[in-house]
Amino acid sequence: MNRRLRTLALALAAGIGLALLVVTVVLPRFQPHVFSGTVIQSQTPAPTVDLITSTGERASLSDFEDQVVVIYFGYTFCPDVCPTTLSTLKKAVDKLGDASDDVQVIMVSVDPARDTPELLGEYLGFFDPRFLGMTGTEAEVAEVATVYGVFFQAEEGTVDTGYLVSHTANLMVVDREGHLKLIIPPDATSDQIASDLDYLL
Amino acid sequence: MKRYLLLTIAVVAAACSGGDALSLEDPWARPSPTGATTAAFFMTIDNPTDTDETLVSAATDACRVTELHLSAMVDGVMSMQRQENGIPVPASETVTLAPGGLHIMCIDRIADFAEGEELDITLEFVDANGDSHTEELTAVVEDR
Ligand SMILES: [Cu+2]
Repeated sequence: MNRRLRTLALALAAGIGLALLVVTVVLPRFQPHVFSGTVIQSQTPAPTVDLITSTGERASLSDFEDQVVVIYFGYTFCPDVCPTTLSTLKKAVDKLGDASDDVQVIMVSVDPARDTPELLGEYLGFFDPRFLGMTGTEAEVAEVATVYGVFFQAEEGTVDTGYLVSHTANLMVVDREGHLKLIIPPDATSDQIASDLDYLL
Repeated sequence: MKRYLLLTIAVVAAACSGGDALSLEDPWARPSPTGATTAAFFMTIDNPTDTDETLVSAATDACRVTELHLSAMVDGVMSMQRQENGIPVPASETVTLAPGGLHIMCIDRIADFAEGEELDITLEFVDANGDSHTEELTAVVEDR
């Protein structure tokens, strides 16, 4: 009787132990990744981006096959939001360690009149030499922005600022298969962005 | 005894009129990329007094000119709006200038906004009585 009780107690303890293990260790691994951005379930390839890069040649999205591409629409005259986002992106990419080699950050200029490829290269290189700028004619940039659902418009500034550009400030993430996968809002933290990119890699 | 009474009255009077001055905390700017002609200053402005104040302008040798701006998200689109009437700092309130919101925009930067650099700024405030006064501060350049 005593022995039976002891066996029962042992079995119970083992059962509780196993349950705890499942709940604390095993289950979390099967939790779906929670994206900080909006997930897009697109069956068709992401619209192409075919522009002049900050290194002076023409490039398109297909040149970054097998990489996760983060596309940001911004401009160098932007004093606040663009540097903040690029600084956050730099921190996010650094958190990925070696895996960051498979991430390509691209800033498409919404101010092609002022942003020459050289200026874009200089500007982005300050954040990370791997970041790539892209620009083109006003019409080319507008076409790319439109297919990505990005709005931009020059707004009248002052004599001192000249015009300013209002623009959609989201990050567009294209996965390794070339599908637009994620739209990350501009207030996402570097941890959130790193976690999303890590999951897609 | 009379002296203590007077002292008490003085202390109470001081407490009732709130703090005596604006305080400008944690002024900073993000390192500005090479090639960039603009930058932004951020800080927290605390107004413990019982008089409304308005930040009307900022001057610094670090920039040719500055403007008071608000970055605002409207329907997912980020735009900057010049605060032509200044940035109000009501009595007993704290206003924070931070990325993605209010900022002092630096146009045609002159100084090198490099990490660790310290940049002097003079802010001009006008209070509810129409009196203007300036505050000097030093912003530190750092990546956050
Ligand atoms: Cu601004």
